[in-house]
Amino acid sequence: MDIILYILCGLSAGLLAGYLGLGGGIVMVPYLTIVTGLDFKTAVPVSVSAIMVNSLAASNEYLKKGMVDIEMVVVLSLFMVIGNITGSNLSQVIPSDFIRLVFTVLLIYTAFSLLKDKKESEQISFSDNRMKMFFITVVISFFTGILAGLLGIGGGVILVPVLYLVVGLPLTTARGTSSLMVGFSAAAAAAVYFLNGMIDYMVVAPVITGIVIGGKLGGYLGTIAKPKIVKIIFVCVMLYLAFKLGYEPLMEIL
Amino acid sequence: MRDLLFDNNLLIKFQRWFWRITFIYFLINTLILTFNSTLAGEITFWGIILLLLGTLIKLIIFIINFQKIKQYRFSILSYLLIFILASTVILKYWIL
Repeated sequence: MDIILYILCGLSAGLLAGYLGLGGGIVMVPYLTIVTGLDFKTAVPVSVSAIMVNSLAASNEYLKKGMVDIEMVVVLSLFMVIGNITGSNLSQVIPSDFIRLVFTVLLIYTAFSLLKDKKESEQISFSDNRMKMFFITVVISFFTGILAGLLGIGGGVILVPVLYLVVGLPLTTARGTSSLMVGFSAAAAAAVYFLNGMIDYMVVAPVITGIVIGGKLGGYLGTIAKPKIVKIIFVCVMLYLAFKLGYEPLMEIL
Repeated sequence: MRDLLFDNNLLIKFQRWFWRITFIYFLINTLILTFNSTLAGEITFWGIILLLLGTLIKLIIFIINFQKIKQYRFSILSYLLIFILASTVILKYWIL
């Protein structure tokens, strides 16, 4: 019975993640914790291991259609991985409630930013402002990596809006670029968890089986879907995640 | 313009085959899990190593492609990415 639940968890996470260009952690971690009753510290390593596989399936669909900025992937991944390792270490000293609240604020802000219609003239071209965008990219990817390391997510939930709103990539390219990048970010986290013996091998296999199927379907759907629909789904996912993350620590403060 | 020169085909081909291998590997692993959890655990252990090696191969493909199109800066950045990922292992086993 548990095995079926784990497969379903991977399937749903893969579908949504592939469709939206996310890593899948934002769906998987709460799903594994709430539905299957796994401990948060067990769910996170399982999630990052599955994200590595999901990135393969989802990004290939975007690569085939030329919707991935490879140079951006290399530059961002480099600093994101450094941030990821930093974040994993910082998670031991920073109170998790504080981290969750910070992330909640960030998610709500990004969700509402996405709701605004962005004019083409407002978009910043990476090639036209190379130096300026390079520094912005470095800082954002580093902090995204820190957050991904702290929360056990791939980082796509932050990367996609950043690539779309700040860098000015088209939404589909932003999703494609992000889906390839989160693979590297998750690999760094998975390596750390693996070396520390924190991966639950009994859960990983069924979750990966599910996420491989879901990710492939989601990646294909993402390339044919209308950007407006994707944007609305993305906003809903972000607000849901914001609620899941922020509710408990906020109630404790109040 | 440079993005057009970057040959995605090798990466796509590798990811396609690696995805298939991973899927079959973990599908069989899930089936084994239903009757022999100890063996399944051991297979998953090697599966994680396989995934990490896959990431390494992807970066090597990046390096090959960037060198082919003479984008040495990005090639060096890819090497650096390998070094940073490998440093987690080095730190764990040789320093800490």
